[in-house]
Amino acid sequence: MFVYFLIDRAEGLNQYISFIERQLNLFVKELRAESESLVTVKVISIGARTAYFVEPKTKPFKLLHKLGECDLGEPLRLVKDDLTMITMIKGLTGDFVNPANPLIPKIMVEVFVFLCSKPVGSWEAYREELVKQYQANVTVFSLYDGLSSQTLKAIATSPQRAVRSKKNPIQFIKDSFTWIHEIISQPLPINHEPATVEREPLMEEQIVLNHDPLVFEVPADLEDEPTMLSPKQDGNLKASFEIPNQNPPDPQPPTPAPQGVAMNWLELEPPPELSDRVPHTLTAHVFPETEGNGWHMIAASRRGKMHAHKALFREDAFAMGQVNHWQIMVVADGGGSCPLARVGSQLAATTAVKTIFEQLKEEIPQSPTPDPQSLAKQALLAGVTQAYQTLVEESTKRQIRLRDLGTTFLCVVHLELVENQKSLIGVVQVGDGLLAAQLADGSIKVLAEPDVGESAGSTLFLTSLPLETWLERVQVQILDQPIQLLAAMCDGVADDFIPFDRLLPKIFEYLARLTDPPEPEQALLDLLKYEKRGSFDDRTLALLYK
Amino acid sequence: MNLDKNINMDFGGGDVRRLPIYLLLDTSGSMAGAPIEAVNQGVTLLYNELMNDPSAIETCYIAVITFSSDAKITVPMTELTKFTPPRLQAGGTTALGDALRLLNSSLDKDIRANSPTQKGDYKPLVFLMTDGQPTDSWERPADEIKLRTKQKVASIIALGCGGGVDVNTLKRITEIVLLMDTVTPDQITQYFKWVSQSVSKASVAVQAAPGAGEARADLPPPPSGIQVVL
Repeated sequence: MFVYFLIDRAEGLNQYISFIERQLNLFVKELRAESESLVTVKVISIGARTAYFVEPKTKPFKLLHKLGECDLGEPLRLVKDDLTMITMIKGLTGDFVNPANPLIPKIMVEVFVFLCSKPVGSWEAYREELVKQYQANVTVFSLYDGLSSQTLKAIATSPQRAVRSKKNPIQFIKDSFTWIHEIISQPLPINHEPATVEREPLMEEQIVLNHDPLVFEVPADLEDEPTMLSPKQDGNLKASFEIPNQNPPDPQPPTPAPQGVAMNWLELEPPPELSDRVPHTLTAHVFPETEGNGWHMIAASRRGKMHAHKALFREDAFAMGQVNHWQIMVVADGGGSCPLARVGSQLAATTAVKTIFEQLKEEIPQSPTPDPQSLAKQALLAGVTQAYQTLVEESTKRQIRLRDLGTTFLCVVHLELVENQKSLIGVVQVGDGLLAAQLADGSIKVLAEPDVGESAGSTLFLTSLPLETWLERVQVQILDQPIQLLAAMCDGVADDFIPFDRLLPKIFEYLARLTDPPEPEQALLDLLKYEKRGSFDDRTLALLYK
Repeated sequence: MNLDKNINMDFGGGDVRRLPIYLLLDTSGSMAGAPIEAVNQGVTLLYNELMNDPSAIETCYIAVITFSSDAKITVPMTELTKFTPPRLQAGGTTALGDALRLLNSSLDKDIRANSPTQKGDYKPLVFLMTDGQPTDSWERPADEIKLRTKQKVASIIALGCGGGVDVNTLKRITEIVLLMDTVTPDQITQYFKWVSQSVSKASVAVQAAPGAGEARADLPPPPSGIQVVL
C-alpha cells in the first residue's frame, strides 16, 4: 500500500502544523513497528512553488512553515509521477484493475490531504488522473472554515472522505490520525465479502456521523447527498470505514496545552550506541527506620522534553539514605554541555550518600556523645570530598576531561532533635537548584544560596572549581523548630518557581499533598509531568517528610 | 493529609525566560537587488527553521533593526510565533553608528535581568550584517556596546559582506567577526541557516552553560565561504 500525506503549509495553519507533524511522526513510528514492508508513507508539503517529499525512513521529519499559496496541483502531480515510477520499477503495467477481481486494485493508494486554506491553481485534472489510473482514494481533512463543501467534495473520492474540524482542531487532528491508522491497517477484506457491497454506503454515513459529532462534521450539503460510488470504490471504502465504528476514538478530552507550550516536541529513544544508559524516569522511597513515627524520603526524576526531543538520556540523579535517625539526600543535575554528565551526577550523588552514611553510622565510643553538629559537618566534608575525588578518578579511568562529568551537587543531612523540639540541618550546594524546608510554623526557609549568574543559564558545577571552594560551603545549623517538609530539587524544577517568594509556598502546598500512602513516589513522578512554557529540562525532586 | 493526587500545577503566572535575538541588517543602497532579496528570504528561512524547533518556539523573541541613512526598529522585540518576516528595501547610506545606538537603548529597554523578584532573560544574541563602511560616527556607540559589562550583556556576532567592509570596524564592536568574501544569494541563505543553528544551539545551551564567565557564545562552525576573523 502507498500512503501519501499532502499537508497544506500555507498561511493560517500555524500552531496546528506542529501538532500534525508530531502526530504524523508518531503515526509513522507506530506503523513501522507494525507493518514495515507493507506500507510506504510519503509526505508532501503543499504551498511551495514546487512540492517536495519528506520520506520518514528512520528519522522523524520536519516540514517548513508558512510556504506560499496552497497549490494543490503540484503535489497531486508529484504523487502521480511517483506512482508511475514505482509501477515501472515493480514491473506493473497497464491499468490497475485486477483482471481476476475487478473489485481489488493491484496496488492500494491512499492520499490524505490536510487543508488550511483554499486551494489555488488547476488541480482537478491531476486528481482525476490519479483516481482513474491508480484508483487512489483521496480523503480530505479541513482545518479552515472558509473551505466550501463543494471544494472538499471535489477533492475527496467520496462524500464520507471529506471531513472538517468543528470545534476542537487538536482533537480533530488526533482523531483523524486514529482514523487514518485504522483505514490503512485494515487487512483488506474486500475480496472476501463482495456481497456486502450493497449496504456499505449506509454504514459509512452512519459512521461518519457517529464519529463524535463534536469533532467530525460532515458538511451539511454533503450529508444529504446520495452516494455516488462506483462498485470499485465501494470495495475500498468498506475497508476504510468499518473499523472506526468498532473502535471509536479515545473519548478523553485532550489536555489543553498551557499558553505558549510548543506542540512539536518529539519523544525519542537515544541511539543504541550511546553508552551509560539510564532509565528515563526513576523513583525511590526510603521508609522510616522505626514503624509509625519516623521520616520518609521519596524522590522522582524525569527526563526533560529537550533530552527526549534530542534522543538523549536524562542527566539528573539522586540518592538517599537513613541511618541512626539521620536522613541524607542528594540531588545532582548533570550539565547538558558535558557529554557524560549522567555519569557524573550519579557518581557524585551515590558516593556522597554512601560516604555520609558510613560516617554517621559509626558508633563513636568516646564520651561524652559527640556533638551532632560537628558530626554532621564532618560527614558532609567527607561526602563532598569523596564525591569530588570519585569524579577525578572516573575521569582518569575513562581518559576524559574532568569537566565532561560536570554536575551540580545539592546535599542535605537532617536530624530531628526530638527532646528539645528542634532540628539540625547540614547542607552544601554547588550550582543551581534549590534546598528548602517548610518549618513547623508553616514558614519556608531556603537552606543554601544557589549559584545563579546575573544572566540566566550560567551556573557552577562540582568540577568547575577546586574542592576547597566547596568545603568552605558546608554549613550546619540548628533550627528552633522541627520541619514539616524538606525538598531538594534540581534547577529543572526550581527554575519554574521563580520568584521564590511568591511561588515556593505553592510547590510546598503541592508536595504536602503527595505524602499519603500507598505510592507517594509515583505521585511525585506524575507531578513532575506538569507542562510549562520554556520548561524543558530534566526534573528531579527529593522530599523528606514525616 | 490530603488524598488528592491529581494535581494540576498552577504557576500563578510564573515568568518565562526569553532568548532575545536581534537582527541588525544593513539596508543601504549597495544592498539593492539580489542581496536584499536574499536577506529577505534569509530572514524568512530563519523564522521557518526556528519554528521547527520547540525550544525556540517557547523561548525565542526576535527584533529587527535596519540601517541605511538612519536606523530604525523595523520589528520590535516579538515572540517567535507572532513574528512576521519584514520585507526590506535597500537605499541610502550606512548609518551603523545610529544602529548601534538603537541596539544599545533597545537592550536597556527590552532585556530583563535576573533578580530575586523577576526571572531574567537568557543572554541576548545579536547578529549584525553589513556590507560597507559606516557613513556616520560610529566609534562611540561601538565602544559603548563593547563595554557593556553589567547586567544586559549580549553576544554579538558581526558579519561583513564583501570587500567593502573594514574588519577593524567590526572588531571594535565585538570579538566575533565573520567575513563573507563573495556575496551571493546562496551565501546569504547559508548564513541565515547558520544563524538559526546558532540560535537553536543557544536555546539548548542556556540550560547548561559550562560555568560562569564564559567569553564566547557557543557557535556552530560557519558555512564554507564564511571565515571567522581572528
